[in-house]
Amino acid sequence: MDKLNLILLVPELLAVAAGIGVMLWDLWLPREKKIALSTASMVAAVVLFLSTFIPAVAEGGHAMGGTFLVDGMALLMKRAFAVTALFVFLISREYVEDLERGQGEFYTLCLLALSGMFLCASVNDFMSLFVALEVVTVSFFVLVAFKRRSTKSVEAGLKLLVIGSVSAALLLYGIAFVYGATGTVFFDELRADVVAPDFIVSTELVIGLFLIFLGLGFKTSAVPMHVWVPDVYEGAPTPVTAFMSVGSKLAGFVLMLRVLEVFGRSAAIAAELTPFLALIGALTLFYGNLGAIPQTNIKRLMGYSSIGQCGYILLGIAAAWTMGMSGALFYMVSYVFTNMLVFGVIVYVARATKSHDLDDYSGLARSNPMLCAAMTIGLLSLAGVPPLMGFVGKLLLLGSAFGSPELHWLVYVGLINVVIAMYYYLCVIKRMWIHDARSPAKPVAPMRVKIALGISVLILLAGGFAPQILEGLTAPAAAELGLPSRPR
Amino acid sequence: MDLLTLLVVVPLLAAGVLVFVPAKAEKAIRWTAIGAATITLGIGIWFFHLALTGGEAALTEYTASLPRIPWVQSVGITWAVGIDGMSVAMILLNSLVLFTACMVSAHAIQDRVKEYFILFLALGAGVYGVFIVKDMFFMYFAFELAVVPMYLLIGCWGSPKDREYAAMKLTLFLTAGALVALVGILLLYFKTWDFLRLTDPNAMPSFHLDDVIAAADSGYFSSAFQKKTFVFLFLGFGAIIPMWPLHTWSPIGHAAAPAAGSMMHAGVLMKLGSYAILRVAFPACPEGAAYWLPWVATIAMANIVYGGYVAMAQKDVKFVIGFSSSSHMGYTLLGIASVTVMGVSGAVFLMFAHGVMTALTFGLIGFFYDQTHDRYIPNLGGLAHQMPFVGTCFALATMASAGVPGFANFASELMVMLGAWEAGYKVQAVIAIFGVVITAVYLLRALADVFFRARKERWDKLKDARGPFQRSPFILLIVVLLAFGMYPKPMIDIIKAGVEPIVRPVRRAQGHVVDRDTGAVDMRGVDSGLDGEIDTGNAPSERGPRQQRRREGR
Repeated sequence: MDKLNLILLVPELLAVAAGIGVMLWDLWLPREKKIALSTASMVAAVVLFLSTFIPAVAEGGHAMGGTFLVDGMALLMKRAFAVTALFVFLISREYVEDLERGQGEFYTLCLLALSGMFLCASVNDFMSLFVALEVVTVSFFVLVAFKRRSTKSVEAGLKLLVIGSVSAALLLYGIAFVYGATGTVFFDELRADVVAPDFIVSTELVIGLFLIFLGLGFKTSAVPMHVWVPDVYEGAPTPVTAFMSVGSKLAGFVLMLRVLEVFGRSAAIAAELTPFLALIGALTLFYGNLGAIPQTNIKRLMGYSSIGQCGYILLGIAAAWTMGMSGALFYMVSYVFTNMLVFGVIVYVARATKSHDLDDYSGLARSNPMLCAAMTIGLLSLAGVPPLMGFVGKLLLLGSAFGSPELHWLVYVGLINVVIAMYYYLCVIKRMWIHDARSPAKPVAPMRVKIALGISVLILLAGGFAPQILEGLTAPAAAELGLPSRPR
Repeated sequence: MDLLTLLVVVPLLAAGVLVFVPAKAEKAIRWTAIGAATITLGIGIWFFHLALTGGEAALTEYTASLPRIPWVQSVGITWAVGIDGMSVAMILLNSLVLFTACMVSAHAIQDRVKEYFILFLALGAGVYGVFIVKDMFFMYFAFELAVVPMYLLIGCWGSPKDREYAAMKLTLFLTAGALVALVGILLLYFKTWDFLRLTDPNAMPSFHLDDVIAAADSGYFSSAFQKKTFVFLFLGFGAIIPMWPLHTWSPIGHAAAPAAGSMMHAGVLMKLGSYAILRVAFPACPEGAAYWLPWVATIAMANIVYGGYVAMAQKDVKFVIGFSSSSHMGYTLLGIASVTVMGVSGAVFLMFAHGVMTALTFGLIGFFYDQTHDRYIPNLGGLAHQMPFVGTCFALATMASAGVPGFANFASELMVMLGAWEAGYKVQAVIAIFGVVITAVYLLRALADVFFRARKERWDKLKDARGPFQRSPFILLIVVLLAFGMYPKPMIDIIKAGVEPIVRPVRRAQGHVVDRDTGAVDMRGVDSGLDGEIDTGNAPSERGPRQQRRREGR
């Protein structure tokens, strides 16, 4: 337990090394050859993905004196983060190529953010938790404001910075409360403490946990820390929006799951947390889904949609038993492919039309049916329609919440929101397939993106028709977490 | 792979193949779709033949021979399919409608042919799925698989005026209905898990209907639980029937859809709700059913009379048939509410007959609408002069719908009314009989206004259905209607044998509800028309043999 055990940190170290390597290489490369950085980053993402399969890493265990933990959930999420980054590099190549300067920095920041996400999956004490989270957040402050001449982009960066700082303060405050109540920040000690028979659930501890979940709610875009989402999603460069909507959000969720796993072992704490998380979940669902309806900008729409999606994962977290954890992990993995699929299309449509208006999508199915089919499948998976992967995830989450009678109301809220979400996703689909074309632009995606989108579509279909493949990965990872295997 | 699973796999596989066929090869696309539909039609007929020759025993044996394939083990999802008399009728219906709708759309659809048939085949696969699966998860899965393609089918190929509104309304209603039913399904799922854990503390949960029914049979579901769960299941599936007052999505959905879309929608999609009620809600919540069904009988009246009156006022021929459909579904509801073997079999038979009849009607309307681009009745008129074949078919379909003896619809509606009378819903039965008169009024008037009266010159350019390719789907459907109308006994026997085990627990629960003190159970109608072949059982305590049989049947 006290050993350094650095071998477990190989993915993180590699990510940092890749980030710095790209930055250094950027110095030597002439302007016209900078495209090589994109290729290098893609290779790095693949290598990072593979590095999680190194036997010593895949075996799992503790490192850094017990402050770093590799378990089933950590491995699964690291793989998901690496895939996310690969997608981002695939769809950002043309975008970055068009930048006047800062091409190297873009990839460096993405890779550093990725290293932060890796760390998030593995944290095992509150101090690493805060550091890991800030590595991600700080990278995104810069990435969001990357278009220095665009007021919207800079405004988005500033907004993120201000609200991010507030939430970081809340998080730290919460950690301080928990430390005051328990006398430790190490998860291993807390895991043992909370189940001890003489453990008393003090008010300070509960307040601390509420504050921690609020602070993490900033990353996952949960109400009331969601206010930045639509503006930042709209203002940020589209590939960054894609990365943020998946990578940064899931990093927040993996931390939520981790904190819940540590404290949810105690039924008394879970009983305090569940109503709080359920309330946040319900508000998040309504806010995101109702807010999405009047949107006319696809990136804002995806921002609200991403708030709504967050609400579903909160259902499983509020339920706090194995099926909910498994459902949350399933949903998060499916979210990677679903959202990346949608953003992959958005990036290339925007390249052709030079805007993000929903009107750009009118009649798109006539000029590019395949791209539209991919987008449609992505949106339907977000809406949770069989036979797609998003449906199974949603069912697991709703089902897990339905297990406890006191959460039935939350399931009803979730179901109402499925219908609302169906409406606005169908509105986009309607534009693409039913309306007549408004803009003459004919979007085309390069071959590598087409292949990536095609693979995502296949994965979404496979995850719907044969969910047991992914479920076979998430269920053991969830079972490892030590939460009850039955509804509370 | 077994034949039942093939019913789902063949259309899906064909849809998957079509993705890779270039969009310009329209002929290949059409023939692939028709080929897939023909294969499933063959399978449907094979099962009908099996039921015809071997009876319910052969179907039970066939179901027993199929494995339960674990799908997602930790959640208890299994791929389990099964067939009984009721599903045989529904599978045959879907295979007929799917085949004829493919034939009709082969010449009616000229725009985006590839996308159309991909969606169409997915729709067909979803409907087959609902009729064959025995796992509640896959039942929901298959249902939604059918709903979403319908959105795009209506939205892209429907009539331009109201298609966007209609498609959205239909999809949201059906999804909302399915989600309400999902609440009922989840209630059953967790209660069944509790039940399974009684015997084995580490038991996995299960979505399988047999497990749910075993729990229900053992009396584990309390009366209050059953009453609550039945409401969710019934309201959810009832919106799909469509039951008044949740019917408003249906007529406009019919009207806006392309011909083949209306055929599938009115022909089979609307039957999914009543099928699911009989399949899930009846055996799982018999006491809930016994408690709520008298109300359903009353709602059925609203369907019949209200739907009929609204149909009378319509000027758009598709709306006439649309409201007529929701009126006819009132008879199905009445039959279901009667809880007699006669009434429920009648309801299932009516689902079959109405599906065939309405597919025929919408196919014909689509045929002339594609040329006239007008469905407003006062503008039409005298079409029989230009299209004698279509006019004749339409007249036959109208007669079938109005319940003229000789058509399957007559036999089935008669059974429903007999069943309702037998169950004591005498007022309702009388109203239902008058409902037939209303039906006759608006249908005959529509027939006369559209096809007869003086020849109008503006329609002289219309072309009648020509050649075997265009005519055969209509002829096939008419032949089916007449064949099962002239000699309904085989079909009725098949359905009755399938319906009997579904009706029995509810009858028992009714006895339970009526005579709690004496313990006497009213078994009227349980064995009617079955010549005592089947073990009826006569008291709530005698559940052993049936449960055992089911266990062996797995």
